Amino acid sequence: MYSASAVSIGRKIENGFSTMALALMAAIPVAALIGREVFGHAVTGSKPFVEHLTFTVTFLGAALAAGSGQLIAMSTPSLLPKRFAGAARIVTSGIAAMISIAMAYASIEVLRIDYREFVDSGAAVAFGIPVWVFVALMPLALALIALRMLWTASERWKGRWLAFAVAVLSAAFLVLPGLETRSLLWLALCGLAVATALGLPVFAALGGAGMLLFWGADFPISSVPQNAYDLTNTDLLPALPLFALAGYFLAEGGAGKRLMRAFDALFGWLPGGLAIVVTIVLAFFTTLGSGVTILSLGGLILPAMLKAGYSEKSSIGLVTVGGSTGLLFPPSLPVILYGIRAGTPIDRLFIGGLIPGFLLVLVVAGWGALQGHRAGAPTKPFVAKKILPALWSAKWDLFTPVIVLVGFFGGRATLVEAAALTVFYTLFVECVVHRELRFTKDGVRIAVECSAMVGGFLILLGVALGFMNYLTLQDVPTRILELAQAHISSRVIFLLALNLFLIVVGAVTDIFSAILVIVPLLVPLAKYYQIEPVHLGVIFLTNMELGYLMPPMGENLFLSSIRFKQKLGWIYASTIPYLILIVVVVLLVTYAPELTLAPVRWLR
Amino acid sequence: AQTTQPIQIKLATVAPKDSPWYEVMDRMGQDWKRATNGKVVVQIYPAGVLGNENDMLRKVKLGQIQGAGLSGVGLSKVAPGIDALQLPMLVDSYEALDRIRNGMEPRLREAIDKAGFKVVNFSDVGWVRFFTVSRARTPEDLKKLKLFINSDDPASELLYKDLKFRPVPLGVTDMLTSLQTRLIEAFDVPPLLALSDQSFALAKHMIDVKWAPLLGATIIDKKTWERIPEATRPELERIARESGAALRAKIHASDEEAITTMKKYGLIVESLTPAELAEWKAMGKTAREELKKRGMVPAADYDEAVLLSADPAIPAK
Ligand code: NA
Ligand code: NA
Repeated sequence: MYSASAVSIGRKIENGFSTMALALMAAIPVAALIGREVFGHAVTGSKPFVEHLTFTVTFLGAALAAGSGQLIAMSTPSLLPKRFAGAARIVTSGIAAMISIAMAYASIEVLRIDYREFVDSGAAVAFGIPVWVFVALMPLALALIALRMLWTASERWKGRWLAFAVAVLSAAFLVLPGLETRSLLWLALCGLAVATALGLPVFAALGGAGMLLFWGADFPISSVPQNAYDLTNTDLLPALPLFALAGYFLAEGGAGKRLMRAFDALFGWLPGGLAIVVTIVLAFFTTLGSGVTILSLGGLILPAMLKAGYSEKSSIGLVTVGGSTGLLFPPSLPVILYGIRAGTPIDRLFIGGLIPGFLLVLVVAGWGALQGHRAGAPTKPFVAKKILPALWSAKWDLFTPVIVLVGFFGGRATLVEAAALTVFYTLFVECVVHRELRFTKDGVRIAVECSAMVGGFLILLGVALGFMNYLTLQDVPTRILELAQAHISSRVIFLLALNLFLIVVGAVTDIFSAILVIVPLLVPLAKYYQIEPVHLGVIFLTNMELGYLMPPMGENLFLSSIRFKQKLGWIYASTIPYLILIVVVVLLVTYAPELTLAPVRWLR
Repeated sequence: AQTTQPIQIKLATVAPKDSPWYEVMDRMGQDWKRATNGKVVVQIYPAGVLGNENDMLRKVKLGQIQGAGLSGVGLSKVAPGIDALQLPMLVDSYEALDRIRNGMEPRLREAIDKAGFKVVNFSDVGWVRFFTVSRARTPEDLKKLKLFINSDDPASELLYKDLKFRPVPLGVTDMLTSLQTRLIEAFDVPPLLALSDQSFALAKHMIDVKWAPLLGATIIDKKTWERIPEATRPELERIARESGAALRAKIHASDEEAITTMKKYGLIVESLTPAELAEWKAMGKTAREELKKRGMVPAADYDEAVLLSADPAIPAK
């Protein structure tokens, strides 16, 4: 159909641009930090520029994610029989392509306004680059996503043509004359809901629903891409891709095995010590990279546990659960994102999460250790003189969080600057100190992988902003508040309802979508019931941690099922005891606010 | 025939729901509805739920909302001439400010009209003062402290850099955290804002100098405004003007009230000696010259503002 070399050149350009955007995102805040703290001169315009680079990474990364099947989607199709799964993929890919094209079209209106603005005023974001140059990425990337959705709809041309037919038909359905707007709207929304359950990427579902709702209420559909542009106005957001990149460098640079060795020397002698070691290492990595920990460390941990005599079920159960236990510790991305969406100070969220986070690690490690003890895993002798050398060999990796702690909490750096420093630090450690990565070759590969991962969820954030904007314009948050005020009179009942609600949310959706959509609705409610904002944050996040493991939709369950090639039911069974223990912690955190708030007060 | 569908005017503002700015916008909306028998319906989105002033302007241009209640920060993006009314240390009383405002109103309206908006009223946000974490009285004291600058406002970052201050550009959401970690040690806002976001609790010293006035205005997309029947417009304009005047009276009183309240909660007001005040006046003059030299304020607007400020005998045009 078209020349393979043209595609490969296109790929190289795409990879080059996303690597460059990430590299600049890391370099500019560091330059600003050095300029300010060392030379006393700020780098003017660096912050808006870095925010626009985040926007760039979002759309370039989302296009990459579309090519490699990394756009966030519900995992239900893996429950379908094979032949239905293939058909579902074709249909949902076709719909996703149609929605992407519609959104590309809508974003051209935004581009037009920004271009005219530039012609009138000549204003630039920074360094002479005008807004429209960044905005132009939206239609380009969305069109590319549409093409890739069709391409990946099936391995065969027949399937791709079928997906194309679905795209054309679903577009025709919308512009079909004679249908009354309102009934059409509801029909289309229901269609989207079904498609989402069948695996339609969530960004397409939210974006499509947003455009339909705006259209139904006589707002311009370009409100959706306009709100996606608001990603550039989201303070702290650049910290997300930067911490994710640092996490990638560490994981790819072999920090996992060095940390295993270090913690093994510390705790390996305890009964069931390996389980404790594994839990701590996994917690360390979840703070940087969320569920992907299971994919990257599973291959390292599982053989070690089996060798030590743990059963397959308890080993895989621990790895599955462990891939979320670090969620509350700095610089965890969900905590940062929560702080952004709720307007709660991020430093206080981290401090408030210390004891609950520690409790989670404790119950998971404790239960894991008990399994090891029961299985008769051999205990090793305690060798005091092995501790220091083992810790010493992992000193560079262990030092990583210190940059954030000292830089950010010490008042030297903004969170984004601390994140950018962390990127340079981890790159230096893995390329120069440990020589595990080659700067150019591995650097580019990892940057591209990271872009795709980050783009996959940031584009979700972009369309979620549009969806929220619709709800705000329709006064939905106020109405929910009124409804709750009318039906829930006491704080305890509210908390109970909140727990139940969040468990359901966690069970059916992923943590990022939940933060984006639910949190803005929740904050005013919690304020009314006088829940302390930091406490609310920790309640929400521990509940979502539970959501990683809650059947049917827990992300970690699916990741494990893929990684260890086990049936979902088997994975469910392996995690049930942990699930019960974590529920206990969640209840404790909810009804004993002092666990969260005492350290916050104490450290003030 | 006229359509029976009412004209919807959705207005956004960063002012919170319990603030005088919201209250006055809300009353204006209700009065407009009454005056048009429900043909013009105003809905207000307070507290920045639709984003910062930059976002609001983008949303107006896209047609999602029809107007906004803006502070001088957003307004100067619509018409840079607005900054001529917000020059540092040019005037120190609302009387003098109103004189400049009345004199310049026609040309400012014209500039805003050219940008595609209709100004329905002008108002005030208050006098910008410096709040600091440690005792500071003179410009030299302030230069030692790291000064918060809104990163959406690169012009003022450049200005403070030129004046040898230590500006730290940050997002508004970073401000409170950064005060706590001491990444920033000073910021400049009108007292009512320092009270409403509680930032004064982290920076307990206030230099008692009216560094610059911060303006406000309600603007509406011109196309929407022109959909209102021509005969009705003068009445709506009158209502809007009156609500603007009512708001100004409220704000003028609230500046001092806010300071009194904050004092009760531990704010230390650094009252200046005549010599210290003279230092601030000199600093203000340098700042104004810098603004003019850099072209940050259009020269014609700048000159007229200075002219109007100088001699109370010059009547408004
Ligand atoms: Na910004
Ligand atoms: Na989940």
